[in-house]
Amino acid sequence: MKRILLCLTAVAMLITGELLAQERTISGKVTSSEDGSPLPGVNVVIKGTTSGTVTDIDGNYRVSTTQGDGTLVFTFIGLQTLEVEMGSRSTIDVQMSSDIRQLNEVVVTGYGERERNSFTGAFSNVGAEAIQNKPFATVEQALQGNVAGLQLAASSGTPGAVQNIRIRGVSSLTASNEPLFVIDGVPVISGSNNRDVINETGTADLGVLASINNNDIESITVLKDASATALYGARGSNGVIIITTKRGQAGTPTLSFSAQTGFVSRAVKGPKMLNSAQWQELQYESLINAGYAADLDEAAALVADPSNGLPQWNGQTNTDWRDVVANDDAMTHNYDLSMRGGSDKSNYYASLGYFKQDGINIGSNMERITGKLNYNNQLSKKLNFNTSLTGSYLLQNGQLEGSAYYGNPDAAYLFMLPIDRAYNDDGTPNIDNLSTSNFNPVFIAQNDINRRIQSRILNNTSLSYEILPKLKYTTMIGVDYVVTEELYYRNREHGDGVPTQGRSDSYYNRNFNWDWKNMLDYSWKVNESNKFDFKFVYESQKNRYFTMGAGGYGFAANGLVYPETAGTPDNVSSYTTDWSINSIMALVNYTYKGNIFLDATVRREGNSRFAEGNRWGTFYSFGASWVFSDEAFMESTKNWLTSSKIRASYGVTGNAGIPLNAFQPLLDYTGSYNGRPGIYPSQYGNPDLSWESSATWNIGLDVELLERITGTVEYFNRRNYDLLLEVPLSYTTGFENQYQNIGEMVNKGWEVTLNADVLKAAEFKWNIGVNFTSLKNEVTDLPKDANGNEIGPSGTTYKVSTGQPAFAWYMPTWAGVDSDTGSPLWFVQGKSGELTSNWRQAGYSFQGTPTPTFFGGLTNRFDYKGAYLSASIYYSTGNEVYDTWAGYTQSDGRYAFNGVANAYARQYDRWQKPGDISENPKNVFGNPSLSANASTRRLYDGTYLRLRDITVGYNLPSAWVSKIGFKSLDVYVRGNNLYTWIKDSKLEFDPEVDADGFIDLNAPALRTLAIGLRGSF
Amino acid sequence: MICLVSISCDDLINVEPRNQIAPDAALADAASYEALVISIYDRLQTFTYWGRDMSLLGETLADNAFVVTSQASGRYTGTIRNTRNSHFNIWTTAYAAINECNTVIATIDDIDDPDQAKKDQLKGEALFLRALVYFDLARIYGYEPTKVPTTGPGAGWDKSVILRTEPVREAADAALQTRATQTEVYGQIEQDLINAGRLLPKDNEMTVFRANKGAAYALLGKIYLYWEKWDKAVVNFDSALNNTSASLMQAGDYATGFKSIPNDESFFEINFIQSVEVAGVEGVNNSAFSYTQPTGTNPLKLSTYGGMTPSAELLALYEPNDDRKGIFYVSASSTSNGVTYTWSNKYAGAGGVYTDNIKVIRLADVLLMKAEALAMLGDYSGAADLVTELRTQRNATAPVPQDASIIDFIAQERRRELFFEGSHRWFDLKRRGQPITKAAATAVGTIAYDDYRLLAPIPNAEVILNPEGLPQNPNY
Repeated sequence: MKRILLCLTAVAMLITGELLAQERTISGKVTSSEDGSPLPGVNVVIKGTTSGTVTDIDGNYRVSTTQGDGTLVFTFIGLQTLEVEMGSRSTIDVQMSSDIRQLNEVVVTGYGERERNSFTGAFSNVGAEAIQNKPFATVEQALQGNVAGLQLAASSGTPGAVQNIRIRGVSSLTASNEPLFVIDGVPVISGSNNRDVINETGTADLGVLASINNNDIESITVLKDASATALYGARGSNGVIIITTKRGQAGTPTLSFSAQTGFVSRAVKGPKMLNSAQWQELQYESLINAGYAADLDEAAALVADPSNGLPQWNGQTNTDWRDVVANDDAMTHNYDLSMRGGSDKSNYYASLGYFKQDGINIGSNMERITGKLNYNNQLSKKLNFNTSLTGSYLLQNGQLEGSAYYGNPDAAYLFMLPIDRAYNDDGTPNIDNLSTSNFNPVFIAQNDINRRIQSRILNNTSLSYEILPKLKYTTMIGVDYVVTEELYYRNREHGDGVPTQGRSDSYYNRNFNWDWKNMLDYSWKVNESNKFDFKFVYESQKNRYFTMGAGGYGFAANGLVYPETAGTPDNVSSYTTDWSINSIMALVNYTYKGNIFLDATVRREGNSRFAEGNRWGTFYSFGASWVFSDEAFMESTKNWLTSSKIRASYGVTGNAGIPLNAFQPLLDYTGSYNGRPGIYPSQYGNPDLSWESSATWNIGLDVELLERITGTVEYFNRRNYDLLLEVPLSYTTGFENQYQNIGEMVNKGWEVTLNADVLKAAEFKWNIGVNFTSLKNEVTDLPKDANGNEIGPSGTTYKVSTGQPAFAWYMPTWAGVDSDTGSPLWFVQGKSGELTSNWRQAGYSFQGTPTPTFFGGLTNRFDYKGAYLSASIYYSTGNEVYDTWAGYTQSDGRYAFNGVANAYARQYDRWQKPGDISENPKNVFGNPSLSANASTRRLYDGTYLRLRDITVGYNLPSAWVSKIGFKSLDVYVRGNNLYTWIKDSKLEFDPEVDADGFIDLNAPALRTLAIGLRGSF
Repeated sequence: MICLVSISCDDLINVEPRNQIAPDAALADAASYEALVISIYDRLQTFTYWGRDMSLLGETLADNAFVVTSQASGRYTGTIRNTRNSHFNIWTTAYAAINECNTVIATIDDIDDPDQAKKDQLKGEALFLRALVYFDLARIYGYEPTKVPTTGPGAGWDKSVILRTEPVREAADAALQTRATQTEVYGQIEQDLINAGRLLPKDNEMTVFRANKGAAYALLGKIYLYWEKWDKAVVNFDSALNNTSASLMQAGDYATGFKSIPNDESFFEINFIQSVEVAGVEGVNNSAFSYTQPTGTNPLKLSTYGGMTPSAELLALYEPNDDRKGIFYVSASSTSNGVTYTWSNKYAGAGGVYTDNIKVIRLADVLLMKAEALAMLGDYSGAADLVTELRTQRNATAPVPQDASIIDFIAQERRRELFFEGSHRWFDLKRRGQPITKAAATAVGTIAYDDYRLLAPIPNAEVILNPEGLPQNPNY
């Protein structure tokens, strides 16, 4: 009878269809398999349908279904996905376990995803937690200390400025050293999009990546070796940084928000300068020491006589220009709203973000508005559609920096004298009666403009179709459109604009990049033990840059700032540069019994940068990995060595980051005379010019102990050869030099990454992450001139030479101060032995490297109930940094008292009488001793350690927040760069300097202290 | 499939530069050659060449100038004291210009353009400019053929510069060469100018801003003067005077004459357009105006790095009524704390802020050179007539000698007339083998003719590259 009833019911359901289908409810609780605690926020979806839900604060869920049977799918990031047959049950409680077996993670390569086990290359992965809500204007700043092998140095502290990134060291002497950035599979524009700053604007480069909202990022993967980068051909030789943005998730929509606001100040205070009383004391002393005055009275009389033109202290003014240029009210703000949701057929992620950060110097700031939409739709069983659209608007107000421009506030604070007033009695900036040539930075900040507005649209769309069950076709198009508008105005009253009654220049720069990939994936399972995966790719990329500028001088009134209103337009410029790449690539992965993997990649690439016969290059890599913990002989250790894998890779890639059309003899058209246009031969060309190449070995060991500790150790050796160097030609040919493929360099080193769950108790958790990198760089071959001397880039402080690290410091060795005479001393040869007080007789020696040789990060995180504390430090050592402007600021009287520059307060410790042991030599007006010329006196140990991030927060108990309708709510206090330890006590500047090791007059790095709130409902 | 792909690939990656053009594509007709010739003039405008240094730097090396260090911000503070390596440095610019001249001279006859007159003119200009540049190289980096010292480090030093007369188009053309002798270089210059004089039109058909027949003969006369071929010099100066529309600035006009564009006396004058040549910071950093005018208090009230003033010795050469004295003025600068100096207003911003034309060859110079050549041939009265003709228009009334002493008088007259132009004083002393009695204020004293500093150092990189063929000048 029962059977009959059931049958009837079934028949009835068939007849009436879904509308009348009997609905039933399944409920249950999701808990953690580790400690039994409830898991909120777990997605619960009935497989094959759009119906689903999310667990509440107590881990409870309730879904309705009309299906008689089916499968429930439980998903949560960081936990293993669970599928449970519903059967006829109405209550299904499940336990989910964490997915800590990192070896099975997926590696995103930009050409699809690969299981971590089968990946033979070297990579690092940084999750969203290390990126989101960090007060960094550009996303790559979050990578510092989190990725072994990656060094990051800010070129400037102006918010939004380009960051220098070196992955596994310097790879080229003249070509690009910057890695390739890929967002959601598409190579994008990185670096900066503004005009050549050195020659035209004198401001820090604005990074194109500053247009990306950190909070849209799901993860960042850094590919480091040839096995990984052969995929990207010549673009990838400096490493590849792959950014994956957030996608939708099946389940009920989740609305998340975050708000953060805080204060900004200097991370490192910077050098202390002489105050007025010290300055005057030293001024008088210097005049006496120079023989211009016999005693203090005579010195005072000399200074007081206006015909001598010496700056004189009024006995009262004492300006600390560092305080004057500092913006005391500097703030950082970050607000975000995002929504994600979807079904198993389609999902979406949408977000809106606002970010604002002030620079620490008056007048500099950055503001960004971003919007993003990611959408994914399984159009049919075989056809999948995916698109992502990001739009952003960024406004940056910068400052003059990078050199001792009179209008640079960071120069002002070193150069301007304490005896000069910053403000008049009425509170306006003092612009008259300044003793040095510098302009009052307050007036400049108020009246000059250094503005950039960057708009960016980034879209990538892909379609994949399953032709056969094992054969998939994917096409993916990415476009990246960046427009940067710039305005530089110099006011009429004070500063650079005075000689021309004001000056204004405006630039418009457009960069358009497209990349189109067509991929065919085929999977061939020979039998249970042998499996092949093939991938064929055809990819084209084209980049078109266009820029135009206009400028003029002579403004009739204040308030007119655009070139349009200039009386005399005098600057018109416009040019365009294009490059393109075309390539085909084949990849094969072979899997034996699920634990031995071999792979090979071949890429043939053509690049417009080279002459017709040399345009095409072939790059390749091989790799192998073996998960030996799965072998029978490891059975005995399986209980503690839960997973272990060894891998190796070798590959050859190229670097095409060379000047465009460097191979061609060219004529240039920028010249003119008497109103007529000129043509001139601008380049000699070299049709034999080809790629710079690199051959890389990488050997890695990945282990997991007790399912608690994971570790990776890697050894790498990268040989960069056929380096492009400018080989001098005789000037009598009419050309100065020619690029040739000549020169070789090796980078080798170790990387160690460890992560340990020290405590995993239900209420108290402690996690430690640590990574470090040891790196050795050596130049191994250079061209030689007719005398057999090596030809390599060199300057007054560095020299590229074989047997030395690239751009090794090369200068005389400072031997201190002669305690009898107060003269400066240098070694005649090398670093010991005979001394000389004549700089011209001092011998040059190699003095170390600007590139750190050992660096890394350490992160600790403690969780107790809902509260957490996390702290990360970054450390870097092995390099030296050079004080570029100490020639003025540490000149022992040469420049400090005649109105050129102020001096470091450390200059007060100077030689005064025979027998004195002092840091600085005798203080002499107009000091002719060359004591401040290039020498190790100005070279400092670059070792430092920085508390990069410290966060204390509390996840409010779910029982509380659910009452106000929230799923989660988290409040925190976060500090960045709160503390910096600098080994060299004489180094008063921020030790995090440009990758070239020069301490320049740049905006300083920021320290932030912020409070934040984030939640979802 | 790979083949198909490859074909489309090559199309995609064939990107020709948009701002520059490969030479074969660009140099096809007379118009494009004209643009190449324009570029040679553009190179002359380089501040370290004719744009400034060829006018002023030699004045600081010699005795017409004194540089006030506190005002100069390092500009010419080394050359005024003749410190080692403080010298002209035109090598790179000069040879870039020469390569362009060579390209025009060697290939313009091959192009298919019916406008023969235009081609002749362009070739003539290139020949004139090549001669001018080689002449500058020869007199900066070597001794004059007849004035090789017999004592000192430069005794018997007959090396001039590298003589390239073929364009460098491919690797084989760039082979290293050996320094030619003075006679070889002068011979080449002579030949080029003879040809240029034949090919070039007169200035009234051209403009004095470009090379012209009169300028070519005047320069050829000057070469002969340096070569001490007096009779040939006179002949060519006469040709120059017969082929020019230049006229002497009239009495009372000297100071204002330098504010007119072009100068009435110009045979060849380099024209500077403010918006192009001294835009941005170029003016304040590099212009002759900035170097020679007091900051803030100059007639245009511009900021300058002016430290270069006429020496007391130069100022003492003028008689009270001499018009030329009127071009000097006494002023403090806005940073000199009330201390006054005497300044020259020869570079007065005639072409706009910081902008002045450079007079390479002008009538007064030609007259005085011709007078000198006549005097060297013994025709003292002929010489005196020419000098008097000039002096009358300058309201200078002191009598002109009628004997051999006129030779030294002419030298002094050249100082009075041509100071701060063409570095004439430096080259005049050098070609006459005379020591330099520096301005007393420099405290340098006298530099003997056989001092190594009479020659400029050749760029070191160049010597390193070619130590056999291109030895450094003595003592550097």
